[in-house]
Amino acid sequence: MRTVRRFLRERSAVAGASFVIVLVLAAVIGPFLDAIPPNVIDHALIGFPQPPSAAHWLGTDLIGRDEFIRALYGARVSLLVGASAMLVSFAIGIFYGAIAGAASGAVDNLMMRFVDAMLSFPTFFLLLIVAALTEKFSLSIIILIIGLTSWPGLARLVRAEVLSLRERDFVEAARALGASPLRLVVRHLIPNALAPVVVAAAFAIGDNILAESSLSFFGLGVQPPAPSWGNMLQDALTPQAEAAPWMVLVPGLGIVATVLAFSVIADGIRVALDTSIGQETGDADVEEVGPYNPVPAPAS
Amino acid sequence: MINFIIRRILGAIPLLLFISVVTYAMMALAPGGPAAVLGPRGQGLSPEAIARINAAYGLDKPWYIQYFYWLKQLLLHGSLGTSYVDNRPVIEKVFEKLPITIEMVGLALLLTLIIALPIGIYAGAHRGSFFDNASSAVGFVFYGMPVFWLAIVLIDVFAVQLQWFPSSGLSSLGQENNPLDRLWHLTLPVVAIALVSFVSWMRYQRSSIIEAMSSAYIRTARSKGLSERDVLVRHAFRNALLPIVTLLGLSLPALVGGAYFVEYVFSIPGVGYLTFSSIFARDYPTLMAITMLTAVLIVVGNLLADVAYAMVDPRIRYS
Amino acid sequence: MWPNLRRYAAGALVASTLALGGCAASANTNRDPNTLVELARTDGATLNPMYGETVEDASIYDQLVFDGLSYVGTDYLPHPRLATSWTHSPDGRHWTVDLRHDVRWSDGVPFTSKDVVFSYRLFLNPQTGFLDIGSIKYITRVRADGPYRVHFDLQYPSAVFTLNALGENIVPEHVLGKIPPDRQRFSPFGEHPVGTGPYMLKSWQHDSEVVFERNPYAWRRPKIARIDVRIIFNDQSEMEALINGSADLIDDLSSNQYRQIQRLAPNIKMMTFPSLYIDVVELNTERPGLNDVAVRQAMMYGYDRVDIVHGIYADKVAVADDLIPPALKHWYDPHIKKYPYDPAKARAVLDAAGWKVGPDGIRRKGTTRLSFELLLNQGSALLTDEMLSFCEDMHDIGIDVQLRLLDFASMISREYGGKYDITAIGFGGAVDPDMTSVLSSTQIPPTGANTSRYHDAIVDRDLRLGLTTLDDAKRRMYYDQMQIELGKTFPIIPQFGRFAATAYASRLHFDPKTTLQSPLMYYNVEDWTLSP
Repeated sequence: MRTVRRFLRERSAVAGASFVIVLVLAAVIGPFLDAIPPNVIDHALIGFPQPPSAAHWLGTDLIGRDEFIRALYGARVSLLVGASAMLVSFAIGIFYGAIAGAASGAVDNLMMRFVDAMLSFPTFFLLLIVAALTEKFSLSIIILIIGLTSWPGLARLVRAEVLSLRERDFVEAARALGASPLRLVVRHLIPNALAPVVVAAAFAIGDNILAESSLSFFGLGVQPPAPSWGNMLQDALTPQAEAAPWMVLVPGLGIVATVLAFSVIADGIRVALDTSIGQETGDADVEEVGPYNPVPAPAS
Repeated sequence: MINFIIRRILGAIPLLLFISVVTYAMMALAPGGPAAVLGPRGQGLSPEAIARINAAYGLDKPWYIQYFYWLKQLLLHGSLGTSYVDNRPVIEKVFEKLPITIEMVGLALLLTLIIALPIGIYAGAHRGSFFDNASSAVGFVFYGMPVFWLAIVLIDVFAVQLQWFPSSGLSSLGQENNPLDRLWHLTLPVVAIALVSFVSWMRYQRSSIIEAMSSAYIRTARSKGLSERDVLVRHAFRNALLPIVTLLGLSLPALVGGAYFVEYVFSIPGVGYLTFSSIFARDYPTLMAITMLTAVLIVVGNLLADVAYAMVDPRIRYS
Repeated sequence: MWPNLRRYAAGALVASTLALGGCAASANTNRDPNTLVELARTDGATLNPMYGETVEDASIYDQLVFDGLSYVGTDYLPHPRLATSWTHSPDGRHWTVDLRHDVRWSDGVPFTSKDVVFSYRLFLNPQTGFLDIGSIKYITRVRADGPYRVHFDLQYPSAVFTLNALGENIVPEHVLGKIPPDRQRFSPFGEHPVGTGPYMLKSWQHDSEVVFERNPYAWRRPKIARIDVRIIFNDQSEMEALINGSADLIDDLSSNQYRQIQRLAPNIKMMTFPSLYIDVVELNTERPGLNDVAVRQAMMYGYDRVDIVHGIYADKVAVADDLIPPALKHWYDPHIKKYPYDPAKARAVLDAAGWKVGPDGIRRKGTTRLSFELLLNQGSALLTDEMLSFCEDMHDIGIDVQLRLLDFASMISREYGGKYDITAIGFGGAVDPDMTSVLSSTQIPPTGANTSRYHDAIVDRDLRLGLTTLDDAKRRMYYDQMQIELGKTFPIIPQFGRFAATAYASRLHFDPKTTLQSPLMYYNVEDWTLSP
């Protein structure tokens, strides 16, 4: 399709997509090929992280575990959590936002105030409680938590989109033809709001990867010894990290590269979808906002 | 418009009540209470001592009774209670930390705007150029950094290796009242926050400029023969800056809660740090106060943002 | 045009802050000869000695402001402080304590027996919620006999009465007397304390700085006029401040700070101490599998502590084989059985007890599988890594242990609720070998702190006799027996002693022979001096 061709013309987007594909392949296949399991502690190396060498391609961490293979397993976790949590938040957020935007008035007001409420909660506290209360801490819990705390931002986006779509001609026309509100939402609003939503989806995966890394960094996410880029970063606060920068850089750059890749993919999708509609009028059909959550809350 | 504002403010009241109830209920769920973290040197507390503590703070009652007392205290006496950790008034604890966080986040916002606006405008005005693509790419690189990781890297490079900046804290010994010393200490944290967040602002600005520059009245100005530069400065500029007000409104709550991780890594005793320590110590009154403060700021911020948005886009009408 | 301007402005801003920041840093070398600057990682929640101690960070600053009737000497024995002497009846249940005559509170009011009686009655009153009530519960009566003598009646004789019960900080009757016991907790006394100690509180900015000034009425008059405690949350900055000369003292040094200071600033003086704390792995002895002594014994043999001591602590701590720290020379028995790492022995013990290795590598007997969850406090990567090593060692001998990171309050509540298998915590800190509250079967939660839910008749007997005998030689015998029994039944696996050290600038002087365990606890702080 035209859209795909436009996407392929964006060099950065293609680079990003290639990276993700390679990462997925590496994450899925890599562990089968490599001989070293990710959690084997090398007792001889405890306390003495080794720099990258032939034996350990990216070095070892504080207890002698191989950074490279752990990074691959961590990639698996990040990709899985990022994508699944995105699906969870989208499942809720799209419908919620569309309904709120379509309904308007009191219903909209009520729904949006609920969104505000969700955003005010001390999320960290909520996460801590959930982490403490769950009997068996699994990846599904983490996915659910991240999905459930990130849908409000998406709902807001979808609602804003729907709000501006509502005034459009084709909606007037559908209404004039007697379409019921539900039909309006499902058959007209959502499909047309979908463009920015797809873009937001790609950004969301990046956001979720960041969220999981923060959780795991605090010990409230993926539990050791299972590797995740976030919990690998716990070693960065130890005194030995000063002399062993690879412990800080390997997981960190993994996160940066992956989120960057998804960001440029998202941007590429946006350009691809955008230029297929009305470039002449410059009336950007797809909001050229950065990462989908337009509230640039300084880094919480 | 006035009606709209009034209705929003009235609508905020049930919202705040709802938040307070649910947050309080969450505390009932949290395992362990403040008594769990008190007690001499790990010897644990005797059951009488725990019972005393719970009675003193009303923790032996069901959570909705506790909540009712909290609400009563707030509405009738205007008090947010006393902390379970040190029995000081919660207001005092929060307000001694608030200026620090506001200063840090405020400076970060300022730096973000300084970086993001000019770059965004230039990128938008030269859409598709190398600068445009490069600036977005750089922005996304920083966006992809977990802020606590960036903080650690900045400390390692600029504080430990190069020793250009201090690695933590708010002030050097004996220099508490020196604003320049404070600025020196806040440089790395402020930079960390600004770097990870500037891309959103930049992109928003860029998109506003693009939209503004291609809209009808700009076409008119161009057809009248005005130079590109004049078009940009006189027309697109003014309109394109208005959405920033919207974003600033939405960023209001960040002034209180926006910097947990940075405060943690840089050991800055601000509200974020207080939130963490209150959670770990199960200091519910303090946690409630911070949550309610954040909620109020979200309501006010949203209101400001919506009002500004309406002023910008005449198609949006609030009735 | 203006993009360039922006760049210049930014550059100018950075340059000026660097320059001025540099000026700020170098200004620190002018040091006040009358103020001791100490660095600490936490300032404690309150200076009210009744409520001041939390599990994680005991507030030690009340040692500067308050006194008890006794205090702990460098020999770990109690010595008189506000008391001048004490005597007891032959059955050990009645004590008479004589008080100093020359003591005044920091507001000038004289100290008398009225304050002592008031204090203990207040502490004993359940309404007050006195945190350390466990140490004084057995006092049945306190009464004054003239202004400088107090009588105590006890439920039973206790060897730790003079150490613990008489060591409680005394509070002023004329300040707190009017406040009802259940309101004591809410009084401003914690922010505005009045004590008999060498210093009084001058100012307090929470999480930032606490300043103490010489108490004008102090009976132990300090030579240093002011102590300024600066709170720095992080190791690295703390160390930097000491090295660049802006601070004089860091108590409670970590092993990493110690190594770095040795390397970077050999002119800074340091002292290490054998610590009173031991890191241990605690087992819930009521859990299936863990209730079998053979399993616990196998865990002891199967755990390699040496490679952790070597790798993570650079041999700065010593492997511990029993629960009494070597620091307590009087009680520690160097001949107790040691447990060097011997996985083969561990496996043999398990095999002999009928725990057979299943197809998944984990041992089982009947329906019980040796698979456990280890609760750990989140927030320390070193601790996590240590325990991962433990988990791997256990896996090698056929026991499956999974880590679970939790925040402290959740962990404690599960521990005390008995809803855990294994946890890793710190143990000890007391100067007396009495461990009734943590090992006696009468102290299983919710009654006490025996979170391993351990019950052993021999240990119970030894604890009871050791506590209620005032004869030192007999006590030694009981505790030796107790250690032997513990060494067979292992409710708690000792790992290693903690690292304890202090670093101080050369302008601070105190007699090293008179210092106690780290933290220094301001022992003889009135004799410390600063050279100009």
